[in-house]
Amino acid sequence: MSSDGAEVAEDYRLALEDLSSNMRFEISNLTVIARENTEHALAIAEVLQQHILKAPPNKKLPALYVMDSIVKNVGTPYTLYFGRALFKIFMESYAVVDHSIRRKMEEMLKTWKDPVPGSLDTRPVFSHELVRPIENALMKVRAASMPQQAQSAIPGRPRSAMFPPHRNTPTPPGMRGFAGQPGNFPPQPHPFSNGGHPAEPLPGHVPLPGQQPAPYLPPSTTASYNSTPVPFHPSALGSYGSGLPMPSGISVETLSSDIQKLIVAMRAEFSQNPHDGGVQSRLKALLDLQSILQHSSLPPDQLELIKNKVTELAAVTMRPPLGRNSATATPPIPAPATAPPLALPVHPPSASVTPTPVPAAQPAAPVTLDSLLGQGAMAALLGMQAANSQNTTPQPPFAGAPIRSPPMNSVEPSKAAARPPAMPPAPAPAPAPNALSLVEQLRAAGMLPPATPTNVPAPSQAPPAAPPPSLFPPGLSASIASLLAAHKPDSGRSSVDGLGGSSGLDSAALKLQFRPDAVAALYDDLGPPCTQCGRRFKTDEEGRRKKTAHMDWHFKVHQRSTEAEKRGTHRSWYVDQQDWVKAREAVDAIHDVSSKEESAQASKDSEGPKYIPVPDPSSGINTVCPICQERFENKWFDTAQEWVWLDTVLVGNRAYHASCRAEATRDRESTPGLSRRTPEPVLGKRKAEAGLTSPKVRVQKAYV
Amino acid sequence: MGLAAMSIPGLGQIPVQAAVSSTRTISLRPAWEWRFQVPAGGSITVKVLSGTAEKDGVELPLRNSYTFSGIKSKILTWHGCELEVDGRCDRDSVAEYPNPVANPATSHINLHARLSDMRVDATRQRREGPRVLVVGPPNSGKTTLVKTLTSYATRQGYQVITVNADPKEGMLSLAGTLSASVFATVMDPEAVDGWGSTPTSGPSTVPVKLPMVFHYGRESPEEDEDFYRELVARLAGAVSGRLSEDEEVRGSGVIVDSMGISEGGQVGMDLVAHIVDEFSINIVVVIGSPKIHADLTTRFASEKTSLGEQIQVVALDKSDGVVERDEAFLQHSREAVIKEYFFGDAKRTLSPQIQQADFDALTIYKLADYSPDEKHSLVTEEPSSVMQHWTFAVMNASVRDSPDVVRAANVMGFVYVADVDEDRRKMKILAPVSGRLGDRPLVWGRWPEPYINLLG
Repeated sequence: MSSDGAEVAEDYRLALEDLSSNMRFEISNLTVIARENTEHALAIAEVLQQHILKAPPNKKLPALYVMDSIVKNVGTPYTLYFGRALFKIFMESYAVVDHSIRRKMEEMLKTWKDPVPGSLDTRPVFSHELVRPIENALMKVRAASMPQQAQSAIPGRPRSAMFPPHRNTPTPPGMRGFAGQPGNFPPQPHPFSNGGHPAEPLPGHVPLPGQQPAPYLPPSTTASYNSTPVPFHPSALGSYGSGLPMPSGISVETLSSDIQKLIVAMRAEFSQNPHDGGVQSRLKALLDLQSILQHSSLPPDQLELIKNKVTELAAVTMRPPLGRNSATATPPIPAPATAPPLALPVHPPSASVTPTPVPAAQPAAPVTLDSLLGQGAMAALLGMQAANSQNTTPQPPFAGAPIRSPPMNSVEPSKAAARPPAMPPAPAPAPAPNALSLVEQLRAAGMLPPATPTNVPAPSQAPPAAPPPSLFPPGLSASIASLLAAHKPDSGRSSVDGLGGSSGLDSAALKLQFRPDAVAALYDDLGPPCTQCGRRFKTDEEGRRKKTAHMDWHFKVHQRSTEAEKRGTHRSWYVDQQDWVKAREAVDAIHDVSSKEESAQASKDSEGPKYIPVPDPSSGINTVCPICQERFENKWFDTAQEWVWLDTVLVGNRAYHASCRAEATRDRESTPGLSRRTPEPVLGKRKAEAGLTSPKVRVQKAYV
Repeated sequence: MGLAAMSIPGLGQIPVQAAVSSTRTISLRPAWEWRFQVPAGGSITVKVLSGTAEKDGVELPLRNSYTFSGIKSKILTWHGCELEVDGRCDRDSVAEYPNPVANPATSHINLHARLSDMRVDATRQRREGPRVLVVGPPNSGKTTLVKTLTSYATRQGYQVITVNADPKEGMLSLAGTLSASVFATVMDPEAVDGWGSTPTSGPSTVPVKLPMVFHYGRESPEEDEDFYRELVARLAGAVSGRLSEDEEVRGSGVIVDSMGISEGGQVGMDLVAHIVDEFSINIVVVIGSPKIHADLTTRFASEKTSLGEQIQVVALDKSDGVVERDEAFLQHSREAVIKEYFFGDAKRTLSPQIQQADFDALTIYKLADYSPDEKHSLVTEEPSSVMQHWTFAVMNASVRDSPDVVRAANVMGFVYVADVDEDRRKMKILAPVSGRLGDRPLVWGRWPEPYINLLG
């Protein structure tokens, strides 16, 4: 057993790098290593955390499962270490993985709220304080991902394919045998307890894996791991995580129908007082509540709390209407519980090119959290985590939807009241069908409002992720203008007077007039704003074209930000005068010199010696060539003016000696039929060495 | 009690007792402002729940969270809005106006509307749009007005060139510099310097701006009037070059932010006249000083721009929301800009390089002290521990160029002297980009002042 933490961590990191599937044996292996090296827990936790954050989306789930396994089977101190960044680890991963993995993550998340099954420790895997912010964030994602359904998000309506009810998650085959505890871990004694007592004796205690060789099974035994004593659910088939338990809903149905009754009553009240904000918000809250109840599994204690609250509410606030409707068995709500799901936004054919388990809800390109929720959402969510730890008021999923038009009410209540309760989004003609348009994909992902506005009389709230283009759609701007004009003292004067003259700027005119048209010119006249940055686009042909380009830009930036973060970004030099004068602003283009640098690098590589800049230690790039097992040497490369590894190529996130790799791949390529290259004489491996000057300038990355 | 008061259990628990929450909602009527001050260490997040809102002319779209730190600013609404604010402010208040005209912001939007008309005309006639100079006493809201006018223009699709002629604060650069940039894309309301960010090797979620930068190296134009005039002339030369070559920009015109000038100060007036002359300014906006307005009106009454236009001098009122920014606050702002330059911000982390450089490998100039017989304003300087914690400008010139060429060259960027080891004759230098520093002359200015804790 190594005593060197750094070495253990490094080994662990390399092992993680090779982890690409959620094979149970691999995960248990990594769990055992973590257990046996608890003295290096911090380093291991750090490595794993970094790995989760940096791994490509397809490798995130296995890594997350390693974390899950460690906290459940080893517990303290890992629980502590991972807990510190749990929100970040979870949400950043969630943001970049595809739908099926998200579902698995959601399932995993749920198990964190419960104690480890079979454990004597009654505490949850992670404390509620850690899990709740994540759940809140997920609610937001869900709310944002089904914008146009928000208005008809009537309780009881089956959820779209995008977020099927967890309760309906098919039980994996391996779980079927344990009917006694549906959705729970098998009733066998769990080998290890949670909560920091790894060595605590348990009934049916199985020998610690450290005392037996089983965890270090070579891959070839994978197929037979079923019969091997591994420290996990021994009879569970398939990969790790497939058997994650689902909490059972106890009184959900009753509670749901109670809330339903309240909603009915509240709707009745709402129809009588459509402009009563209190009723509106209460109704919304109830709908939200029901939606949460329908689509999430809450632990019993929370159900209990909700139940109490609902009972209280029914008793106090809702008595009269409730009495009226007490006999109503079928609530007269617009969308009955049995209504089929609203069609998702029409998907471009291209979306289904990517075969996915749920093609209907799967955009062709990965949707990041930011793209789901708008720019800065990730940061906001991360920020929210901190806020939520004190702020015990969880965000309702539709909290972002404002009660519309309070400002208008404040301007002139009578006119505001004369308006319809809500306006459909500005009628935007459906764009020319373009299957490949990013905008279509984004729309499909819920990032953009639907192309055709729904003409259903909208309830009080606007869809969160697809707000109407403006609070004041073009049709209304005139009335706003007149409202505002009526507000100013000298409304009789033409707004152009004193200002509109072709020459002359009159200080007095600038100060004493209020020109609603000047405001409109910066708002409504420009069209609806981009939800991410506020830039407005007209709804005409050109505006739409610009918006398409603009959304493409946002999308690309989101995509590239992730890579850029891995690569490390630095400030560029300013341009000189000549370049500046020659420069032209390219709106919605990416100022990113790296692509140029990269291509320059590539062309250099093809001619000169192959090298890569010495990677940052945190970049997760291996320091030993996987083929020859020799360490890469840091050399100062004068031409590039930086420290490099010579004769090295980067394949994905792994570094190889170029010569080693060439040799290795040549073997593969020279398979008959694949390559007609003349076999080269075997000269023995020789590292390319260039004449190097001794470094004059030492380079290292600096961090604050 | 209503259900609204009860929290929706977003899978969480219903609070047993009132939570100690700093989240609050602020409702503003049309033309009202929410003014806020956030200390350097703290931060707040602001979200527009409904209505419309703008910060220095930059529209804040609904439901996006914006984080502000170390700032004294305001959020203005033209339609009324509801803001959700989370976090602690040193001070915040709602400025209520009985009608929009009562808010000086109305004169700003009116001014913009007039400029916009001029831009339309200019674009049609393919000639230069309005060139605006904003002047006024210190702390009168000049930069805020320039930002607002710039953002308004940007929002309508114009591509104005905005120029910072006030070395006390930087624009898209460090303090001590003069810079110009075309603003064609949405501005970043969260930007550390209030303007935006400049290119990096990676993408940026808010489009970056591309400035051209000159290094003045002192706080006040009056400290080295001649050099200041020279740089203004160079800046103006580049701007006019861009105006004549870039048609998109030409019709949009120029907006120049200037240093604070005192009423009755002769040097300040002369420098303003110099800027007007160099940039062919045809609209001078004076904020918060009837005296300066009167003086400049007299001064330019008989003058015409190089394009033969009348020079109009307009007086606008200072907003009562403009607050004094004390020296500590300003210093922190300057430091925040330096830090952002090297390390990025919350949205984008940058990784600068620390280099060890031999004394002999570097060419360092410093601004010469005043001496009547000294012709050069730059003199070479042997590295010493006094340089520690200063930022040097990296000049786009050759080490073989004469000092006069060097000082008037464009700035490529900045380096920070982290450590000086006089015994080993080595300096530890923080640079934005890796690569040899010895090829470019470095200029040690006097402004901004040393930043002790950049790496601390």
